[in-house]
Amino acid sequence: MISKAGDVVRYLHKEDEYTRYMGNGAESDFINDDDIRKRLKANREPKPHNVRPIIEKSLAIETLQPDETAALLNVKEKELWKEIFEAAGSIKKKVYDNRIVTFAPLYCSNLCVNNCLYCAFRSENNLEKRRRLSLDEVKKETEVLAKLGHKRLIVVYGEHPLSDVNYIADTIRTVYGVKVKTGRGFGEIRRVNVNAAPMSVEDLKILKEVGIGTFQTFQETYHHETYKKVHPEGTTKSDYQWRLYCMHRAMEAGVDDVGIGALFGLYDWKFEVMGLLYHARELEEHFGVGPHTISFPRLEFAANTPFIQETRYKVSDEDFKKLVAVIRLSVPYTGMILTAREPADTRREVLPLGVTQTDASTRIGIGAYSDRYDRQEAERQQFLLGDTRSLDEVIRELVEMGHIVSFCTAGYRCGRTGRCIMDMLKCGKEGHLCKLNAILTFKEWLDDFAGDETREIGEEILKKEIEEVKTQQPSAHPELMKFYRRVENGERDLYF
Amino acid sequence: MVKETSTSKLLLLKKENELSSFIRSKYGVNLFLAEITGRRWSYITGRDNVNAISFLFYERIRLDRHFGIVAEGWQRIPDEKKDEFISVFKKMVEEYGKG
Repeated sequence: MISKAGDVVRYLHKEDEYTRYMGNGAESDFINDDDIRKRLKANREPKPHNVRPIIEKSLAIETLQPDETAALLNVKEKELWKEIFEAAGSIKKKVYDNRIVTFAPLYCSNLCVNNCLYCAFRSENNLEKRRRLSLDEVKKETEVLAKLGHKRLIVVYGEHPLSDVNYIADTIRTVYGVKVKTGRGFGEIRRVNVNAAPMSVEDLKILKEVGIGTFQTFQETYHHETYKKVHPEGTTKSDYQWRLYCMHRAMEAGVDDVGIGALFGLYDWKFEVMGLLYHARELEEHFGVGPHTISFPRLEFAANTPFIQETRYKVSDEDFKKLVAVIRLSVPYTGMILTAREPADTRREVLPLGVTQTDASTRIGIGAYSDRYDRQEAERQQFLLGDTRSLDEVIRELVEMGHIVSFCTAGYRCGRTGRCIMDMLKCGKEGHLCKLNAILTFKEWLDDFAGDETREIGEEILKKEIEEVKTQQPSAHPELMKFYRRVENGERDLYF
Repeated sequence: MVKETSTSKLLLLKKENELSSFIRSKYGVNLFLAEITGRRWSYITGRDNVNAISFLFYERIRLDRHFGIVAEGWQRIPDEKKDEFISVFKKMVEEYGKG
């Protein structure tokens, strides 16, 4: 019987689509707050001789046990943190080599029925200018991004009946349909990832049919009590377990690349890292496939949102570096996303700690790319960005740091998804293969989109990378060079 | 509880594994089955072969609207046999792939 707002939410949320994954009664999910607290407490004084074998285990690309992650989180010695940071970089290099993937977010709608205390999109925020892009506007936004050379987007939506799965599917089809002429070639988006509210299996199947890349939903906070506090009762987002089991439903619907995340600043950062680990382990256990990516955004200023100033869990820069490194060690195979929420100097420091993807030329106002405004407008954004540099600038810096920037979108177009890609990542094979595709796609981007300075240093790193393939993957080198010449001659979207 | 897999899907996985193992032992060809949705090819089964596939010289062979195989060394199979195998794969997904 539906007698209060919470019952409506549970009714709409098809309770059986998550209770069937839960053991020991409907109240028991895989996040046990007491257990996490106990483990953090039990491992509060880890000895260096206990920590080093944990680091070794991560370097062998094995997912950590909760007690092991808890020990890393509680390390006190500066020297040991230095070792953890170095290990984080080594793991990333082992699994993904020196490549970094870039993408841009495309916010399609800020209509939202929820009332999350930390979010500028919350329904009670009357100062927010509400807007949902028409498909023609989505096309215009995509054209701008394609002209910059982006190949990957993450499309983002508030939770609202007007931005339901059918709207989401229409916008994705629109994005895929865009092709724009550029200098020597053409621009198009080749992989669309989605960040949206949790959905039913039926709705997720609709997204799968459109051909999405990764489906992302962040738990925001894994701490039950905090979750309840910041997501008021009766709102659709107040259902912790509907959200927590969203990725189970995605897997069930056949979407096997899923992205999880926590919004750092809502509760104790150590607890949230443990939550992410439990989530990854739960997916591995049930489906044999862990998260394709983990995101770790920090709370940033948002218009008319006093909660952000009031929270006592804000994460310092120093702790932010620690949490990123511990996530890297805890789930060594996963992709890790650092966004333009963070200012450029933080990004510079955090990237070497295991990050695999980052955004650039980012605008998060609704319609902000085609409006061509160059200052941030708090009243149409979810939060304020820390880094608004262009794609060309960000790429130039990444190359200067020794990375090759990859625009590769091959994996999901040739079956390297889910368990297949997990296995390849764990054995280091994906890193080798991706290097080849990174070379081809970066060459393509340099030829079509780069400024003179970026092209010059980009060509230098390409030479170095090709030389590395010659020595490390001699059998692949001739084939790579055949493809490379074809790209030089103007062919596009070639991949292994 | 583990992910529920329909009986027909299980049969598809079993049959695919039998056939791909045979092809691998006879011709040294590694392959796996993928589900196609739009531009996405999602790995389904053939896991044992994944680490053997170099992905440098692979082919994607579409079986129908929903399924395809990703194969390395496909050219090592004589043409008439290729047609035979594709036809068996097609029957397999037609019969068991709807679950």
